[in-house]
Amino acid sequence: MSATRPDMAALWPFVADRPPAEVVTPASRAEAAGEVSRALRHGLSIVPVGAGMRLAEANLMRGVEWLAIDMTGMNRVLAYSPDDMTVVVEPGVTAGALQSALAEAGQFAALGLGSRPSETVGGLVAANAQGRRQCAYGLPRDQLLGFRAALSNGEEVRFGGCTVKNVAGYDMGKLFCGSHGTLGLITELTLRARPLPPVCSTLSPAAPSLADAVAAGMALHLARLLPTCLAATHGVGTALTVEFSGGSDTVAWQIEQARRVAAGCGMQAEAATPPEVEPSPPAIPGPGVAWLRAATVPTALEGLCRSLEPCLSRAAAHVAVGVLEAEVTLREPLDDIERRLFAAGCRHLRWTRLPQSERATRDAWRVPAAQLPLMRAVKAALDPACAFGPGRFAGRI
Amino acid sequence: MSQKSPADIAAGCIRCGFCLDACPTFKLTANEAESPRGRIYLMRHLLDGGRAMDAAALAHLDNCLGCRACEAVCPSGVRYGSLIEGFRARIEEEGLRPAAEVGARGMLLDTLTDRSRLGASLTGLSMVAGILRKAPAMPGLFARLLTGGQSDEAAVPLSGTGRSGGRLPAFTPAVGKARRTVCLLDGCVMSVLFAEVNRVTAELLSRCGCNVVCPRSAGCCGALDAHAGRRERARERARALIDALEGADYDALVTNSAGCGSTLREYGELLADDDRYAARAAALATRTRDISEYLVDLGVEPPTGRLDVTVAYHDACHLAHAQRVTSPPRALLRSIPGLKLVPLAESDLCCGSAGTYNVTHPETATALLDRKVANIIASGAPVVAAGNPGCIAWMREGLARAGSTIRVAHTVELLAEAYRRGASPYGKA
Amino acid sequence: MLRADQVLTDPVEMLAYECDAYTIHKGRPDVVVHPESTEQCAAVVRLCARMGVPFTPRGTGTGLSGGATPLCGGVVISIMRMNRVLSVSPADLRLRAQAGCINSTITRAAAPYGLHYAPDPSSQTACTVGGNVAENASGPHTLKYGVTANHVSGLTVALPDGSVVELGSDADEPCGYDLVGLCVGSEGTLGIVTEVTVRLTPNPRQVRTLLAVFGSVDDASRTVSRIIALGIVPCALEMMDSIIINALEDAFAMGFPRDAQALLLVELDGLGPGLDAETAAVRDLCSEHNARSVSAAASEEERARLWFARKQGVGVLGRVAPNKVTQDGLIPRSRLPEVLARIRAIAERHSVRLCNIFHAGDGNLHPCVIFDERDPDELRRVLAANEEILRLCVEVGGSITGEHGVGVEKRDAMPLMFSEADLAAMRRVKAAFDPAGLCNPGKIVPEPSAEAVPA
Repeated sequence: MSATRPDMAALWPFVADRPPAEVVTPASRAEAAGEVSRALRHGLSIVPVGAGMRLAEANLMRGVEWLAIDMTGMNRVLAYSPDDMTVVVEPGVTAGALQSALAEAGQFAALGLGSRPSETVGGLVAANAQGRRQCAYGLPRDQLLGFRAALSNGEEVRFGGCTVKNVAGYDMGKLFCGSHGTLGLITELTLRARPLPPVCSTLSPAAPSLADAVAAGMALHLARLLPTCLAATHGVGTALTVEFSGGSDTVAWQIEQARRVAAGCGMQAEAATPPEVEPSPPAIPGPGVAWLRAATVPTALEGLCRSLEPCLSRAAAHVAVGVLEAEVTLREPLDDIERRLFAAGCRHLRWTRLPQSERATRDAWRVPAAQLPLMRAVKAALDPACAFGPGRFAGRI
Repeated sequence: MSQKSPADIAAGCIRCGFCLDACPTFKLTANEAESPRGRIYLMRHLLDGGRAMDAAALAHLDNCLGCRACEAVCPSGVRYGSLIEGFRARIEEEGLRPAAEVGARGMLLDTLTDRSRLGASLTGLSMVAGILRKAPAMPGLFARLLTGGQSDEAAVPLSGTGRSGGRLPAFTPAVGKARRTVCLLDGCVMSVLFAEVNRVTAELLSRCGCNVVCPRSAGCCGALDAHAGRRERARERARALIDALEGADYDALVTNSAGCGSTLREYGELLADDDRYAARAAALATRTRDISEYLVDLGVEPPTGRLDVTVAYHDACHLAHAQRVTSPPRALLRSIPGLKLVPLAESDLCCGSAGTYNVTHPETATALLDRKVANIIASGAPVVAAGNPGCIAWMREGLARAGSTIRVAHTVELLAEAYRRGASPYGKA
Repeated sequence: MLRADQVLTDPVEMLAYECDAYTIHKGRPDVVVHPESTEQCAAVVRLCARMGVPFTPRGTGTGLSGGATPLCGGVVISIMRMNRVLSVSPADLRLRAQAGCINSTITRAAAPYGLHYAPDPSSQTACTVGGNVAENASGPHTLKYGVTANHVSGLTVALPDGSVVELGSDADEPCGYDLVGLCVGSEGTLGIVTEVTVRLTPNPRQVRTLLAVFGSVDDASRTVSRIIALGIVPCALEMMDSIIINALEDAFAMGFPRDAQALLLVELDGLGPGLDAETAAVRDLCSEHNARSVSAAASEEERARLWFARKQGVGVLGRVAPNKVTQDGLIPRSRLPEVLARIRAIAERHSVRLCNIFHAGDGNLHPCVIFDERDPDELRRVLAANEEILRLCVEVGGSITGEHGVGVEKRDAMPLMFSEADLAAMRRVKAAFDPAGLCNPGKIVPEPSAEAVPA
């Protein structure tokens, strides 16, 4: 699967202001821990690398020599217990490989279900990235049961476990999900598996505009069906995509209900080719466009979409969870776009792809400033040597 | 039913805390020393000798309303009511209370439980209340309380309760063929202040095919004494009542006063160690029923007369918590054509009346009353029904003070009114 | 700062606060305060910080691991006068409440919109949402709907230095490090949660509740494993053994057969279509595993009665013996039959009376040992059996606590699961929030042991 990975050399400029001193590919937990220790001895910073698809999401690292630890060499499923519905994997295993391993026992893991099976599980957890099915299964934070990591004090730690509930000690997994490799090097992950639904069916009525699609999505949200995807999408055309999964009876019934609700919103005709539900930002950001992920509440989502109308080129608005993922054309200052979004009720915002020209001056995260001192303290507690991607995280932590 | 020692009862508490949010004094203060769990813990320490009874400890135990809401939610089945009553008995027996307070409490209880003294002594009582509250007496308020708040015409229930006291006839025959014989206690407070409720209770029973006997010699059941810790006095009264009912032939002992009903049902325990009375006490206890429960069990025809009115129902503590009777009164109310029963928020939270508590602890009692009144007003119902005289009088007082015209009625009054308005005769008889 | 009626200092009152529902370790506070707002709470914390006085947050004290016990004395900060629902946003499935709001009050506030708050611990009529956040509480319906951490999106926290911070929001996903996720389950050691934004869940349209009666625990536990393995996700899957059945019969005359060895309570919910087929599949599985009978609750009243029995099932043991210790071990679900058999053997070896009532679907065991603490020999045997059960749970790949928390009860058992390096990292996270170590001291992480060898 690593064949689909973009050319790493082309990616480095989007990770740091200089190429890595070295790229290493450990094949085991021991080797990975060894590489961390070696980097620490040599005063190198560390950036874990998976499929490389999301390296450009975090901030640019500046002024440090660094080691790229390529995790794709650690790509095994270590233990899978279908009866317990838990699976232990190395972080470099691709989502595609994990899902096919689980599918043999009629199960799946609720992460990496999107259009890019080549992404690594470690990368998805590090980015806390979820696609269209967030409304049904939550984020990677909700799938992670336990993990091991190598820290910058030279120690290897293990938190959580392989049971579906566990409250022994602080829930460190929550911190590592979405940390973009800035707290430590994840070397093993235990994930929750779920029964594969027998039937999955989709309805994609065409919509006149993204905001209209969101409004119809809201009507469906209020109908309290149990969709596994409820996304208003915009690209070449606009549509509302509703997906139901489960037993054939319940899926058929819900599709019928959904059709009725959509028709009630004046959306009858199925879109000929509905836009991608999970528009994939490119690994390497292009000039003149930016990608954002804005979080709000469902009732504010339509307003968010309207506020972006002048610059929107592609978008997926996940109605039930209030998330808008969008590509915007930069014909105006980013500050103006941010201002409009927050005025429309955006709670927080991440620029997931920015043109290189913007990355020097702009933090990719718009986190409330009051939380930054705590985040800095957490970073110092878990990464005492400040070795993992210094400056890459929110607030240039 | 054997009488468990206080230490054994207290040992049953596993400190789960389920009782906290059910307890009125905890709800008001958020102070765990004012919660059932806190009080049990304190009693344990007092029993262990780990702590001597002092004024502070006494206050926390005295502050308990005895509403027993905690018992209804206790998974371990801790018999908190027995525990606190036993403890209060010990407080009295060991003379842990200042003498002036003991005298005042005694006078209050004696008067309330004695028919002949009650009617004539309102002024004296308000003085007693002054001593207990350590505050200037408020004869007006107290008199209104004791007269069931009927100084305000708006508070008169639908049936137009008369104010005249008096007892029931010794025998009221069933209308039609007698199905059952019921002994109705016309009580102490009830016969003076709520004679009309007694009359409609007897009328309902009679119309439903019951012969109603009302032994002349039956006096106070001892409920107020038992709740206040005067255990010996309560036991005397219980023995006397058992003796008074000795010759009577009846299928069930029916009360329309929740406080009395709960004590009667616990006679077995109260007299467990009395060889002469234990068996008779237990037998009497098993035959005791609240009027609402009894009518539902009897299976009476619903009334045909309409009462086009919205009613909220207040769960009297000694009915809902001590006797666990919550659905029969509601079922009776729902059976009335035209009557709309609406939910009352915190319907089972004590109104503060709690026997003599509203006299001994006016601040807490009033805080609870204010909360009850606010909930009643928020329910939007022009009538609130309840099954206990103390609650009815206290809620009337609170509503009147709030300037509300909402009426407070005993459940049986509404039911009797509906039957009266109906064309057809009562019941299946 | 506070009115006189918000401060308690009388020794008699302090007595009530010396432990929560876990009674083996105790600590008497010097002062109990009842702040009525986030600002007042923070002001109290600031004062404690300035004077170097330890402080411990407390709700209704229903916790089972000593989380609300002021081990080092100092100030108990009660959240019980901060008990209001602040806002409900039904379309956004959000509700904001003060931390002292009772769990079931939230569900009551959501009920008019056909919504509820999913985490449903047995103590839900008494426990606070702030306490639920501290313990990452869960309940029977966690099996399908998740734990508190899955249902909380925003917190207002008075940090140990007395500053106030808003973490998360009413949006569905975190931004930056997931500090909400960290604080949920931190047992009040990182700060005092004063307000909570929770997620609301639509009420299921249809529910089927089954009661299966088994002649052997083994058959019942195999049934559980099979249901999970077949990919059926009931919304609850609970098991009770014969001691519990008989205690419930004594207390409430439920009508359960007294000679049954195990009851399974299985609840399935959904939109309607297909639910009957799923229910039938569960019925068949029970029958295949020798269930003596399988019956469905015919009405909402019957269903409520079955759940009443389940939720009273632990407390009812107070009627059987004066003392009990409830364990909270978690095991991989496929090991259920084996682990239950081994627990039985442990109980026999130590001659202790043990019963089981637990969230079978999650593998969350609650072996309860019942005893009389006045018998010192029995107490000794009980503690020995308990430790062996904990070790067994860890040995099969489980955890020492699934929902009750570590608190003080299992603090010293943490090394069974965690290395010194793991514990050191937890200590550093704690210090990041609370460098002075004043916030609920003595909980979760044991002091570094003298003989610990740095990795």
